Amino acid sequence: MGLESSMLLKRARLIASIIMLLIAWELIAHLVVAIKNVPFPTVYETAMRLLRLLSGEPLYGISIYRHLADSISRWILGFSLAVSLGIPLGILLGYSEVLWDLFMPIIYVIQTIPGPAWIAVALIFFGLGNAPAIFMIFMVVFHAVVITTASGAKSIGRKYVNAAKMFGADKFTIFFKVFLPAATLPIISGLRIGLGNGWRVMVAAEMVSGAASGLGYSIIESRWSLDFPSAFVCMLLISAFGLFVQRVIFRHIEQRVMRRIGLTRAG
Amino acid sequence: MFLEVQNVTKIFRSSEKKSIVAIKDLSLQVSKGELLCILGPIGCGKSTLLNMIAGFEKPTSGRILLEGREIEGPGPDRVMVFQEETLFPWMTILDNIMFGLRLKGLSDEESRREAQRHLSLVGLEKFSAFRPHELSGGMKRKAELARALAIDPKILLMDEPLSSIDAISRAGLLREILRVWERSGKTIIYVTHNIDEALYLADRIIVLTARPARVKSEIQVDEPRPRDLLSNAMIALKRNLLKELAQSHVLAE
Repeated sequence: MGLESSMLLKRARLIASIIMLLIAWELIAHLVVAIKNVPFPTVYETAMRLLRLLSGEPLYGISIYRHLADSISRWILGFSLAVSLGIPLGILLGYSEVLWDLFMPIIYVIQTIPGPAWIAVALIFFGLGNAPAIFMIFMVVFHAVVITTASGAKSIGRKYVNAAKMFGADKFTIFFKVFLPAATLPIISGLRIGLGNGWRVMVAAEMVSGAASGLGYSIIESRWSLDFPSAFVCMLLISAFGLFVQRVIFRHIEQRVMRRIGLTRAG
Repeated sequence: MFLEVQNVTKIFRSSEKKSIVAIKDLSLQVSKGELLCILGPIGCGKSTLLNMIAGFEKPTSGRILLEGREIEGPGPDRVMVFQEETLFPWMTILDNIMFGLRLKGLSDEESRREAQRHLSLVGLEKFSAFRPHELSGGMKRKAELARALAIDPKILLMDEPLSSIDAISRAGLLREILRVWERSGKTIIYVTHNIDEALYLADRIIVLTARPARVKSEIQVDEPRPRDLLSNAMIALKRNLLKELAQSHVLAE
């Protein structure tokens, strides 16, 4: 089979997969309505709601664009704070055995706590509003970035550091010319994991943190408003935007970095 | 004596109670310019021995002396070609080779010249601007050999350098190693579990026992090079080595 036709076939399967999902959704909706006699948004209802919201109809007082923008900005803030602290810390922990032994246990403890469980700490620190959500996002991105960077840098770095030592490199050269570039790969994996972690927790954080906007907030509000089609629209947007960032934006950046440093991603 | 391993024992402690004796009371001597092969079963501790000569690990007891001075840590007088590939992937082949030369204090101009010279020595002069991942496995090995030789070490340590190379490239690389050794007159310690590699290369072969590693026997190979491994003399040596290796297994069990 030619390359061209095998690509076409792959695309056809992807479309088939999406259609299957939509059919399953539609079937479940009708079944639920028939058996339990409660309204379950169908594909059509959700699509109509999506169009109305996209055309500017407000949802809980503000447009869907505002909700999306607020969610994204919380996520970006939490993510960038976590990354700017997590990468340097991860590198240091990967480099120094002493620092690893001192700090890694703490990071592992943080790792076991799911983002929304930080609500008490977040409220004590920041009260209601934007900040607690950002804090929760920070916590889950932070540990992912630190752990992935540190353990990857440690194992990948070791062989290059050994080689550098053999050539008589001093500590400065080893750290900046050898260990840091070798850590690029684990840093990128850490970012990828952190990105996904942060996005998922953003939704949960908005549900519990008293933020008065965002996709997570809109979903939890449907408990009272019973506007389930809008909740479904928000779920769609969460998934679509999450996929877009990970599959399109991040992969693009990742491949550029890889090419630049001459590493091909393994696995 | 050029290099002397004196009664070296290496014990790895894996937990509070468990410890593994990797090497037990091992002694050997290497003279200057010699091509010594250390042959032993996989996992017998021969890499550990090489790591200690390189200075990455310290003996639990015993001493290793190079020209009478005890080895303290890794240094440019003993360069290792590792089993795994350690060219820096973010540098070009030329920069990789210049790395050690610059650290020796050579100017950029001098390091470039030396690096180029060693690249041509292994036939890679056309690939100086390539990145490691653009080269085949065999070419990367050659580049590592060039990088090791460029800084003019006293001793070249090779830890199963061809174990991940296919049979066809391997024959070429073996010839290359021999050629480089004959030209440079370097002392080489070549660790392998492959009898043919040892027979093809070595002045002398030391057979180690299975763990804990001790010297099982020593075989001098006086056949002229290039050697035909299918000649009667070589086949007789091989038969002898196979017997020694089989015994070294039995001894351990």
